[in-house]
Amino acid sequence: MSKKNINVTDIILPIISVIIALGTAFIFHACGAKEDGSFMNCHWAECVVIGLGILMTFLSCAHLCTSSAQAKMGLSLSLAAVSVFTALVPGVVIKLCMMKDMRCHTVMRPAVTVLCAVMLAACVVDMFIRKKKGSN
Amino acid sequence: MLTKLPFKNLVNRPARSAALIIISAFLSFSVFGGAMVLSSLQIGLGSLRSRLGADIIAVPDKAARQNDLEAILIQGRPGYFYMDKENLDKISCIEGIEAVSAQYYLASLSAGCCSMPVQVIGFDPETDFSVKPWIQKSYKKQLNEGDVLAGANINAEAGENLRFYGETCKVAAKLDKTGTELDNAVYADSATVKMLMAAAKKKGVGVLEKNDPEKLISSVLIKVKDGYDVSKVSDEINIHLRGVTAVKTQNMISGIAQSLSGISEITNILMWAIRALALVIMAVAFSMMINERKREFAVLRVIGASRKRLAGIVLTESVIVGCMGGLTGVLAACVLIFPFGGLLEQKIGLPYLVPDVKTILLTAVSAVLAAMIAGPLTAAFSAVKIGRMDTGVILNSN
Repeated sequence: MSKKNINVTDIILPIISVIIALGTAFIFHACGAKEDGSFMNCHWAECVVIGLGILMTFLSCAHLCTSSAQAKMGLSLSLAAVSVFTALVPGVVIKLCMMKDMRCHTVMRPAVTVLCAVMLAACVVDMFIRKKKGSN
Repeated sequence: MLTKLPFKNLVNRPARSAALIIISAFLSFSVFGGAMVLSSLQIGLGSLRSRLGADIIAVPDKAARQNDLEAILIQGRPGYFYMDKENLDKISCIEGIEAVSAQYYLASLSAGCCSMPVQVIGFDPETDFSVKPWIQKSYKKQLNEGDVLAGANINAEAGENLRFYGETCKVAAKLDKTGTELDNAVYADSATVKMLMAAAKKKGVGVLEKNDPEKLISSVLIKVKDGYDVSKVSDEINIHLRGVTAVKTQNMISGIAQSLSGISEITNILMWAIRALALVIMAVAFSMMINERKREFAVLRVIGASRKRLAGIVLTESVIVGCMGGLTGVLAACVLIFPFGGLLEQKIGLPYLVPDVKTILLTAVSAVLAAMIAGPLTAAFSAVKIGRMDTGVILNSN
C-alpha cells in the first residue's frame, strides 16, 4: 500500500462504517423488547442495519488497504450503493413501529439516514478525487 | 495574481482556514438553529390553539382535578375518564353556546405490533367541529364500522390496517400534522368505538367493559357564540352541572405559552452569548493571523500592492471564511434539527411544528448572510492595522 494513494476519505470511510455498525447496536438502537419478551419490527430493521454496517466496514477496510486506484473506485461505488440501501432499511424496506414518537422513528432512523448520507457524500468525494488524480 | 491570493492563502493554510470556518459555522448554527427551534415552538402553540377548535372543554370533575385532560391533550399520556351522556344535552341548553360535540376516550392496549398504547378518541361525525377540519385529503365519505382516522404521527397511510385489542381497523384518512400530542391519537366514530369495546371485553379489559359509549362520554367540546363571554359561559356550566368542570382552552394554552416564553428567553440568552463569543473569537483570530502574516504583507507592499489592496485581501478572505462557515453551520443545523425533530419535540415537551420551506430558506439565507457580514466586521480592525504598518520596520525586524 503506497502512502501516495491514501486520501482523507480512505480514513473517513471505515470510521463512518464502524459508527453505523456499532452505533446502531449500542447508541441509536431501535425500541426495546415488548413486555412479553417478543421484539417489534424495528428490532429486525436494527439487525439488518448492523449487518450492512459490518459489510460496509469490510468494504471500507478493503478500500483502505488496496493500492489499485481502479479497485478503490469500484469499492467506493459499491459502498455508495450499500449506504443508499442501508438508509432505506428503517422505514422503507422494513416498516418501523406504529407511533412516530417511538425511539426507532425519533433516534434510529434519523441517525442511520444522516450517517448514510455522510457515507454517500464521502464516497462521491473519494470517486471525484480519484477521477481527478487519474485524469492528471 | 493578487485577485486569486485570498483563495490561495486559505487553501495553503488548511488548518487555520478550517479553524476560522468552524468559528463562523458556530455563529450561523446558532442564528439558524435558534430561529428554527423557537419558530417551531411558536407555530406549535398556534397549531394547538386552532387544533382544539373549542372555546371550552367540559370534563368530569375528577379528570379536571387530576389534570387528566391536559395529560391526554398536551403530554400525550393515553388515558380515559367518563361522565353521563345526559350532560351533553344539559350543556347544549345553556345560553351562549353555538355548538357542542362529545368525545369518548379509550386507551388501547399495546397496539398490534408495538409496545406503546394508543389513545383512541371516539367522536360524533354529525356534530364534530374539531377533528374533521384536520383531515389531510378531503374525505367526504361516511366512516364505516371499523374505519378510523389516524393522527399524523401514526405510522399508517390511508387504506392500511391497524390492530387494536385484536380487531383490525382500516385507516380511512390521515389527519394533518399539528405538532401536538393529538397527532398520536386515532379517531373513530361510535360504531367503531363499540366494536373496540367489545374486542376489549373479549380480551378481558375490565375497566372498559363497564363504560358503555351509549350512556357515557369523556368530554364535551364547546364553541361559544360570538358576542358571548367565554368565562361567563364556562361559569354557567360549572354552576349548573354537578360533577362536571368546564375548562377554558385559553387557560390551557396560556400555561404552555408561559413555559414557551421561559424557554424562548433562556434560548435567546444562550444564542446571543454564543454569537458574541464567536464574534470575539473571530476578531481575535483575525488579529493574531495578521500579526503572524506581517512579513507577508510587507513583502506584498514592497512588490507594489497598495494599502487598500492589502486590506481588500484580508476582507476578501474573511468574506470567504464567513460564507463557507455560514453554509457549514446551516448544514449542520439542518442535519440536527430536521431529522431529529421528533426527538427534540419529545425532549422539549411542548407542541412543535416545523415552519414551511419558504421560512426555512429565508432563515437559512439570513444566517449565511449574518456569517458573511460577521467575517469582514471582525476583520475590519485587522485590515485597518495592516494599512498603518510600517513596511521597513517589519522587514528589518527579526
